[in-house]
Amino acid sequence: MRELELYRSHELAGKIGRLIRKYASALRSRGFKIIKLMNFCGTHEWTTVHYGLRGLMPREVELVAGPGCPVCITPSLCVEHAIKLSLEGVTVYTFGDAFRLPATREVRGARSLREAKALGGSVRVVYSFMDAIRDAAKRGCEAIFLAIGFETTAPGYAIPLARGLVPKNLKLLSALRLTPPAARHAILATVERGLEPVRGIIAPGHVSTVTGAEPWDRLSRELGLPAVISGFEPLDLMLSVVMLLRMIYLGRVGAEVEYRRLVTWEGNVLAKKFINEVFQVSDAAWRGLGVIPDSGLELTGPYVKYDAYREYGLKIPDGREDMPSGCRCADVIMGLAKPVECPLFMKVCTPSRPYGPCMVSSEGTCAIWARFGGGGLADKVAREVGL
Amino acid sequence: MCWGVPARVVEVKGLEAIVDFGGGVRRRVLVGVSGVREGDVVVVHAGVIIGKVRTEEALAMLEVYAKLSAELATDSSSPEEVERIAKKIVEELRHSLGL
Repeated sequence: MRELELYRSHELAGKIGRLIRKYASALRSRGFKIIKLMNFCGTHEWTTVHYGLRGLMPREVELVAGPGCPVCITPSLCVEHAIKLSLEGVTVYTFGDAFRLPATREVRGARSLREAKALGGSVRVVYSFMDAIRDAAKRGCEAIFLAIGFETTAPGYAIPLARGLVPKNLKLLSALRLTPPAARHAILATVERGLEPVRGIIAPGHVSTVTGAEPWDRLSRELGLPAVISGFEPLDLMLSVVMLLRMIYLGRVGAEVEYRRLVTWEGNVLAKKFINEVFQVSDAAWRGLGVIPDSGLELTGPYVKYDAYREYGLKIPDGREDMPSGCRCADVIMGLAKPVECPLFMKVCTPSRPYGPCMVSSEGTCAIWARFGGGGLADKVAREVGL
Repeated sequence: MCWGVPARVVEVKGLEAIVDFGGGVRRRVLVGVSGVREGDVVVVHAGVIIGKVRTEEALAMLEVYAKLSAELATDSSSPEEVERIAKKIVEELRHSLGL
């Protein structure tokens, strides 16, 4: 699609940048010193850092990464359960990111599924849940799937379960989480800690492709601050910033959709139907954040026979003792600290040897900053030359 | 993790479809949205089609930009006036971007 190239156009970026500066200036004259806008998607943070968007923002506009990486917030206990089972001969399927995710505590000498595999554990990395289904059906082995993800990933589990495609020997270890409750949690935390409050929500485009815009509209009205559902190209995000600044200027709340080419108000109706059939909403632990009410998905009805927690008598994570000592991932996930403010960042914790969970996934804030130098020299240079 | 990759649907086979990501990369994926047809542009996440790209909205960004720009360009609060200026901005952009 040639049209999509427009979303990286230099010419348009300059024009949109001028609009951002105009609105920021108008808000400054109304007494706004800092306008903090928080994203809730690792891909938004990736785009922000990869394209140096922070360097294009006027001094008043601060783009902050909130909880938006499902790998980072998967409780350590889920990983520990998976490691233990893999070393006991149960095949563990998962995605590549979760394969490298370190647990807080070692289990029989392994801190991650990667290490468990090196010690002889049965661990298989797959592209999709369907690949695991095909493999488990063919091999007939006792198996679990470490099911991480947000609303975007949930249909990939729900549809095969609802359609009866999952063999009896494959169980689900659900670490599925819902984004709006965590967004509320992070936004309220800035207020509780007396920090600069969040003024606008950059809502996740692919989560909203499934859920629709409505949950963000509800959250926006509850918290009294605007939300814009954004796409993932650099100009998507820049335009979303303008839309948010305009809403703040006009005192508007509610959700507006920038990512119109994919997001509708009602979302993916078919996927939502299957998710509601297979899962029920529950209180759930987020790594480093503790238990957040109504923020998880657990199997329900006839589908509990696929529940790995039930099958193996595994403890449900309670969110305690979830971070390795010295690691500031909890604050980074909540948008309360930048990766560079963690004493371990790029010292003992690097992309090749991650110590904390935010350094693992390509969508973890620390991993993104490590790869592309977020908050570093590029931003300073951009400011010095007046960008 | 919520990475979504655009692809074109080559063939729909029941619950699954073959999609083309470009560059010779084709994969079998699960159809996770209603009404997927051959030729559709879709977004694939973790082996599942989660949404169809509404190609008619592909240039929506220009309209949004033009409206925001028009609002700042005029002191008039008349929606008709903003609309008129926005249309003009879209036309100019289309011309300068060679659309």
